[in-house]
Amino acid sequence: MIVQLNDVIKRYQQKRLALDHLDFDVNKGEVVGLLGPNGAGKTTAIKTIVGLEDIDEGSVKIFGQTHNGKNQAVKKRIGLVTQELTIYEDLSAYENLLFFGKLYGLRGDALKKRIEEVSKLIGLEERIHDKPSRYSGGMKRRLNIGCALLHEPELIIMDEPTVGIDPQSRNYILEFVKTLAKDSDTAIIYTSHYIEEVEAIADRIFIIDEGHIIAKGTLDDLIAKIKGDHHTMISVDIPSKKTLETFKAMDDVKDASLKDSTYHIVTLPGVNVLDAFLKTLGDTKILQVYDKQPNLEDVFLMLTGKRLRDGEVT
Amino acid sequence: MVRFYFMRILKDYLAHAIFIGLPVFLIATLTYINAPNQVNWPEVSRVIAILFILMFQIFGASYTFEGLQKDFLSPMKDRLHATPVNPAWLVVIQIGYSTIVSLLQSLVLIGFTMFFFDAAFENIPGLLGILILSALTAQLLGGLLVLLTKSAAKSQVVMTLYAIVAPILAGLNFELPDSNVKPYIEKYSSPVAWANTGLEGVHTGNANSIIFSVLMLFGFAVLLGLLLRHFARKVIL
Repeated sequence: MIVQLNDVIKRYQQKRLALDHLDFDVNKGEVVGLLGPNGAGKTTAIKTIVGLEDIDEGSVKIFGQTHNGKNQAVKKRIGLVTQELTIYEDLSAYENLLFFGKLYGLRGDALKKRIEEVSKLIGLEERIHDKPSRYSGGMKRRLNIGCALLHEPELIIMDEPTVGIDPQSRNYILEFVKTLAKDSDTAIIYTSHYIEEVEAIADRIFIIDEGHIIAKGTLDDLIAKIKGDHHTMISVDIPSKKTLETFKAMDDVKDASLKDSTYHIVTLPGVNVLDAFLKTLGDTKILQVYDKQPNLEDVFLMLTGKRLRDGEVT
Repeated sequence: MVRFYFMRILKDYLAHAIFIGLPVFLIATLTYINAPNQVNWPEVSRVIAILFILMFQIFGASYTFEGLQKDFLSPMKDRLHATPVNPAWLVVIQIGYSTIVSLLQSLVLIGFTMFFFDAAFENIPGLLGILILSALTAQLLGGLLVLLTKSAAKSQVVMTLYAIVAPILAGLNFELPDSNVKPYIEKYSSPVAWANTGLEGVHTGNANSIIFSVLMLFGFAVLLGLLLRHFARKVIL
């Protein structure tokens, strides 16, 4: 096992629990998605794995060795892609790669060769001598990733690597992560605010909330947790709270909510209540009706009561 | 890696333009104004050069506080801490190279004054020793300030005030009004005063002044180094 966190507790200022009996594990060659709303403990968990945070209780083992941030041999085998851009804007991309390569002990021809390989991998080979200040947001993000790959780490930790970039660059990075995972035995921990990213690349997904893991498994495992629930969305021109209450009071309706002008009604499996819904709406003009298959967003919503993107509580 | 820090500082072209270009301009202009007679250029330019060397060494502390802010008071801290390199070593390299660059700038100013105004700087080893210690204390002070304020901008304000006031108290800008305390203020008021005393000693061959200057600056550098280590452990390491 590459990463093993057992019963980890981390408190800030002796009070607030940032990690609350956290259990987390990653196997060789596996892409693990770590999802959680803002303040759930994702970044603290990642910092703990990298060795940037001391823990109060529990154990952290990386590559089978106890890790507390002082184990340089373990650090050499980890690559960290930070959430914020951590590159030197006043130096060229080449010089940035040179510097970070040297920090990990690479020298001479081996370093030059790796810079060549990594610059191709991140698609910056033609502009490698430009300063990042001349790059687009997506190119900077790619350089940010490249700086963590030079030393060929066995564990790469990517903390929201696609924040604030255009869809094209985002897709590039996702494809890149998929290729990296497929072509090597590298284990990747990937956190994101975008559920669809995690859905697309992760072999296993951990959902963290209030400092502990509330669900884990493959995408299918997690969706199976809410399998059977039927989601009906009805968009109308003039919604009303009274109608919402009527929906909620119906037999077979597990939950109903209203967002903007769309009712979201969750019913028990195998029950067709669409007729009843439409009758309840009466003369209200219906703009759109559709069924929604359960996905990771629904799992997340069900388990945390929050939407991931904006931390909204439903 | 070590060379990277040197390269990073050397690539700060704007800072070099300011820290070399501005004092060169000021030394030349003020020499022409204060010594219309060319015979007086060597002595007048030497005194003015000392003023601006010591003053711009203080301004040069920005290399350290900007560098430390960029590396350890920003998200870069996590990336650097995640590497197998001891971050304390990176702080030492940052301060070391900032001191070297600041010293080189001082030497350029000395060379300029010697070449264009025939200023005489005697006892080069003594001169270098004092300038190294003076540059080091300025960089350590800058480093300590940024750790205490956690802001390069605030450190800049404090260092600017210090760079203006300390030379005045050392009597470098103009003659201080006569009083009983004047000699003490001129000699003891700040590291600039200690350095100036030493540089005058170098010029006049007064060994006691040189020893006083070196001991004061060295002691202060050790003190600042210890404080810096203490606060660096608390704030950035």
